[in-house]
Amino acid sequence: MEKKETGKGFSSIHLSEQNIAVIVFSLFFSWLLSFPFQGQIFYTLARSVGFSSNSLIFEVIAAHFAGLFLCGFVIKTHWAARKLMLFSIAFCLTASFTFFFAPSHLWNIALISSSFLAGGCVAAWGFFLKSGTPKNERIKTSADGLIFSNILMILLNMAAIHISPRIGLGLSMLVLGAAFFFARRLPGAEPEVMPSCSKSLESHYGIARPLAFLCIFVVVITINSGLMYQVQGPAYAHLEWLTSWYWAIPYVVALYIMRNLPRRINRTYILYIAIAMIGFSYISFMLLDRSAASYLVVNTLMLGACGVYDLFWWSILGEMLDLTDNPAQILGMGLSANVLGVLLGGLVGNTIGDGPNSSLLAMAVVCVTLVILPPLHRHLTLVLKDHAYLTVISEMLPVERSKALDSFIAMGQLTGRESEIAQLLLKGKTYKAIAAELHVSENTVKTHIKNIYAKYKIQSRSELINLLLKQELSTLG
Amino acid sequence: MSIGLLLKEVVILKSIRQKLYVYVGITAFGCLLLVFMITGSLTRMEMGLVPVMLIAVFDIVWSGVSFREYKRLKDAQLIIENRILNICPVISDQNDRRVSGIPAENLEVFISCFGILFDSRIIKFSQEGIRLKSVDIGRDFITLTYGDDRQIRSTRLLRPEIDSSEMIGIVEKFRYETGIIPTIIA
Repeated sequence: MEKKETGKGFSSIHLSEQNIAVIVFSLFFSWLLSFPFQGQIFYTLARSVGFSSNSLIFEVIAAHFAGLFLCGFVIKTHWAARKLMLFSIAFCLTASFTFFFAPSHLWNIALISSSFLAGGCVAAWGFFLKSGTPKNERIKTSADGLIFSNILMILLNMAAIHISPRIGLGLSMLVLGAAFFFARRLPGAEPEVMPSCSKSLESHYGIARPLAFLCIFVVVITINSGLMYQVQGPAYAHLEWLTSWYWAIPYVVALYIMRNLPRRINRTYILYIAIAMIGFSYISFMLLDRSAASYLVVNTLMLGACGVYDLFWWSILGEMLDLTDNPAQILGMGLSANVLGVLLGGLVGNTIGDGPNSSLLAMAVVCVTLVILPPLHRHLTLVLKDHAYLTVISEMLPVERSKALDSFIAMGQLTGRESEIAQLLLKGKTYKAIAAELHVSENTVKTHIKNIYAKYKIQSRSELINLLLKQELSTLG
Repeated sequence: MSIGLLLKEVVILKSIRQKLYVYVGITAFGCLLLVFMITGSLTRMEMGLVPVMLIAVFDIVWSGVSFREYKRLKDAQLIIENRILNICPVISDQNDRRVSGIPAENLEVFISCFGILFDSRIIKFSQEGIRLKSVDIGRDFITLTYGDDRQIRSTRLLRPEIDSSEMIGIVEKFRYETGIIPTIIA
């Protein structure tokens, strides 16, 4: 998709839609991270006025989860997404004024409602991620947004901690104002739909299954992040001079490295390294003291791993946007899984408390997640590979595809019924859809498919497609 | 599909299902007993290791039996859902001996592309590496030959006469579902 030149810019600077989307996201997300979402501005503000924030934090995270999750059910068009973003930013800006005054119920209402709307705003941004960025550049757009927002967050946090909480709050509101200014430049018109980005793709390929697996994967990983906030974070509270700025540095560095990694590097190995980093982070936390040096070790391992994983699922979600007409739903659901993991981890950490075995229990949770992660990741990879292969077939011309399918099926010596099912399977239909189309049970379809795989001596749909493509290549060669 | 046939299908599946429920019930009881013995031994009651191990083995065995019965239920459902032909036969094995113990008039046999179901007994093919090799249809019998690389078996079912139009349909179904063209023996 071509980049659109939409911004007027300052003087001779022209901003593309992609750039504007990155700027808006960076500014808004930095406010979110530094203020309502376990942000230092809020913590320092609450501390300075003696406001207890423990239970409110979980309510805020839950509200943010709800906003992310529900957005896609309400916002279905570009125009609506832009309106929501503008409204959310304006609301959050207004709600932030509350915190200049003494604590009251208004603080609770303002924080929870602005977190909810912030979730919707982030999910709605999916429309602009999809329309403003070509598919193979979305990992870079996502990385840029996360990097810049975290850098801004560090600056806002440092202002709140080292100068004054209200100065930090004021600066965060300025950042929100800038986000509003740039958000007005986001296009409101619906973009032209590419031929491959059609609704039939979504119904054909059943995006629900890969998304569900991705969400499970994300929840499991981010439980560790939530635990980290509750278990590791408070242990180094006395090192505020270091934690106020270093906390997100490994995260930003990891994002930068992953963003610029050459395509030929196998990213699967890096994911397993990141799993190991999480484990070593907790081991180090248990074995080392609470000095600055040990904080550097523990935090670098944990936040570095978080950077790797965050970009991993952001990039997958970015790729999935092309398979749906509602990017807000995909991005919202995927990111809500992230927030849910943080919430669950936080609740577990909060329940464990400061008891003598808190680190051991945290480590036990980490061990469980580390054990189930590799099989979960393998399954996720299989499901996504399925998807990737199906996309290749869908991009063939219909005549080409039909010819390739016919000769491939003849090669396998399939029965009439098996041929019928194989055709539908290679078109990307789910088992349920095949069963409905042929008026047979799903169990019957599964049995026939097992027989088909046995005839080709393979184990999965992606291998079947791989064989088809190899055969097609050898025919052309 | 006649109501009588539907009822027979329901009866067959029901009998397999009932067996499954009994086995699952026994397994569940065993598991509860095991949990009680273990938790009991952690509180006040001292349980020997041997009874706990015996109950654990009992549970494992019955879990296996339950799982096998569940698989049988699934196989039976698969055969009935993909039925090609159903007959009330007299059954003989490959040595032409009549299989005893089953009153022929009460027996309904379902033949499908995935196997044969009679009473609650199942012969599977076109699954798990077992292939249907040939189908021979005589005036009053049908013989199905199936097997894998190591062993070939045949089952001959004596059947009432089928009219020619129905026969064409059956032949076509076998061809389409299994790839095997039945041989009509005069």
